[in-house]
Amino acid sequence: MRVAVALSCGVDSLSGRAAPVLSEIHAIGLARQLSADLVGVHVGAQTSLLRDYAAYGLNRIDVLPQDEVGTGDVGTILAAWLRANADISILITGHKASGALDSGLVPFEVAHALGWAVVSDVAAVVAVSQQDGGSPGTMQVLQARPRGVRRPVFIDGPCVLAAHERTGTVPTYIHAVGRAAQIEGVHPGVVAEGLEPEGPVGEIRPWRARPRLMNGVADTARQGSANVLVAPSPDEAARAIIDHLRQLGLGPSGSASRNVTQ
Amino acid sequence: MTGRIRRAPFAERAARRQTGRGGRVRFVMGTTPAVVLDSRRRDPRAERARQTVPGAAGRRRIIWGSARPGQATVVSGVSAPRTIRVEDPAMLVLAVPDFEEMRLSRFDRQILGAARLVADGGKGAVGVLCPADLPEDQRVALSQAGADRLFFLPAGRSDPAQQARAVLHWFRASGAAHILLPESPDGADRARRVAVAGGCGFMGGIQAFSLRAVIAPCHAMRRERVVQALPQVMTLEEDRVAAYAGLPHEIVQTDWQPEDVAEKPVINGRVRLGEAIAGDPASLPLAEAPFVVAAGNGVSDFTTFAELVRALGATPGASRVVCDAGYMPRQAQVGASGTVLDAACYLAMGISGAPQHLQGIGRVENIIAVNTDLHAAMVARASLAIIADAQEVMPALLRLAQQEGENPCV
Repeated sequence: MRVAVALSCGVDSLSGRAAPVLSEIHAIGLARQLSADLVGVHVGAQTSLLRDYAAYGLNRIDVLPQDEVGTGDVGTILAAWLRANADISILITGHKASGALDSGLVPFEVAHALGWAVVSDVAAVVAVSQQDGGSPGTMQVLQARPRGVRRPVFIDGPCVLAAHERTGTVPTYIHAVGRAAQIEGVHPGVVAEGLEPEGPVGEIRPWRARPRLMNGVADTARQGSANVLVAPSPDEAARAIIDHLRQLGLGPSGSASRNVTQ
Repeated sequence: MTGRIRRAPFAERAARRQTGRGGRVRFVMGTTPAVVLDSRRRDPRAERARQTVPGAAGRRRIIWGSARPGQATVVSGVSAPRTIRVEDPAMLVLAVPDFEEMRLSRFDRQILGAARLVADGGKGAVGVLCPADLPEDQRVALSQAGADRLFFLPAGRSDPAQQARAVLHWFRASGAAHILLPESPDGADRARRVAVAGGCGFMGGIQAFSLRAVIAPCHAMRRERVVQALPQVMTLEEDRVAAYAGLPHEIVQTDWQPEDVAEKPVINGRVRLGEAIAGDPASLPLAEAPFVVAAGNGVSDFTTFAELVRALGATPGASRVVCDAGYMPRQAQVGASGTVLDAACYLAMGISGAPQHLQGIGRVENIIAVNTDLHAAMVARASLAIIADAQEVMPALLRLAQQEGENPCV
């Protein structure tokens, strides 16, 4: 079973220099859980950054040329490439790019163009059952949710998986693997009809912090020191703590964190 | 000239003058005359008394700016509109809240608030897409949050593609101009499915929302994208738009029909979501843990501490002092140079609360502090503070936690 990993040319948010995207490294980690036969795919120019990605365990990276800049095109080109490589039935992408419009639409566009299933925020692969012919049968993955909650997802047939932004396994970086990787330019033949334009791109200007509503934090600050027990006996203190935890739906009797996902 | 208002004694006297029986002139001295015509001196108490009227439910009301004194009349509370009813909207804005655990969360209300903002700008209505099995009490919450119309989605939540198709169906059938979703994990996924399937203009993770422009970060949060014309599908980040706080809206019944499943060829859902499972607290990364118990300088017995953490079903954390001393691994450090928590509850054992440590627990709602110092910063921040030695409280708490764990009451 061959698994493709979509790679993008990321930008470090602090320095602005080219850097790998963390969620795409997680995507390589996911792909390695699925199969040993991996191929990376990148839409755009060949850069030395691709060697950094390859060092996490990719032997081959296909580079697809991009004539016009725009995120709408990336999904179409990837879909055309996947159609040309019919032996690939799983594409793994990052959560979203960092360095372009960062809309996070690409996995959904590819899945829509090919009619594949798509699952976002994948943290780990639990099980894969292979049908004859190498195509995946039923696959079970875990979707990461806030506060450590995991949701199992069952998928039939070919699919696009988008790795989670922060949670995931980071494979070992081996510099020699990156140097030995085969990075080739590939022309994906006929590119299918483009998707509809995404609407106006709008004006791009330097980012600045935008105000947030403060009630959430202010409420908790006001709540402070509502209940102070001065010099209680240890047993009284323990009882007070357990009761307080019970009110929050936490504590020793199990079901921790089930009630506090939001 | 000082701008001082002076009394006009002669005019006052003239106002009090009344002609009595037999042509005798009387001066009514008791009550102040209603109007002293050319008086330039104000009598605030009298003015206030004249403007005060008895209101509904026995509460006195003050009617400001009544043109002539004594004219303030009782306005009956019934005539004031109790709800706002939008009969014939010029446009429609859809909101798709998450309805986590079948109720409208704070984030959901903010999404409705943003939809209300757009609808009020164009004399439109807000439609809310909600699951078909929504409890009845949530309809009141929805009308308070500013919903005008309700559209129902199929009840099952296990197939995200089917949900997105239903959302897109309502979007097209109702002819809505915009559709707003929260940038929560589920909302973000749904919004992108809808945008791609419908070929709609999309903008995700909006940080500044107004009718003139929407702004979202791009280029790895180094640039921002400003779009003047509102896109069709938008997702908003939390705490960026205030929830609707005006009069409740009346939810008007619509005659639009839900998508007929039988008519269309049903694409069998290839993705099925299972039941969410809570993570194992012992192995969770600290940044994701829902409940953290942390040790500070007031703790010296780390064997009991580890047992306590296990008995409470929590994730262990520590302050910098403890990590520096080597009692706890560096991964457990909470604070500016360690991990920033996203927990629901934080139990601080013997931590006074250095500013760098408090940075790490800025987002935590509930904090329980056990500390000997009543004036510690952690005690001021805590919702339950216990002024005692953590070293003495720990064994008692462990004993109680083990008892409760064996035979959970309540």
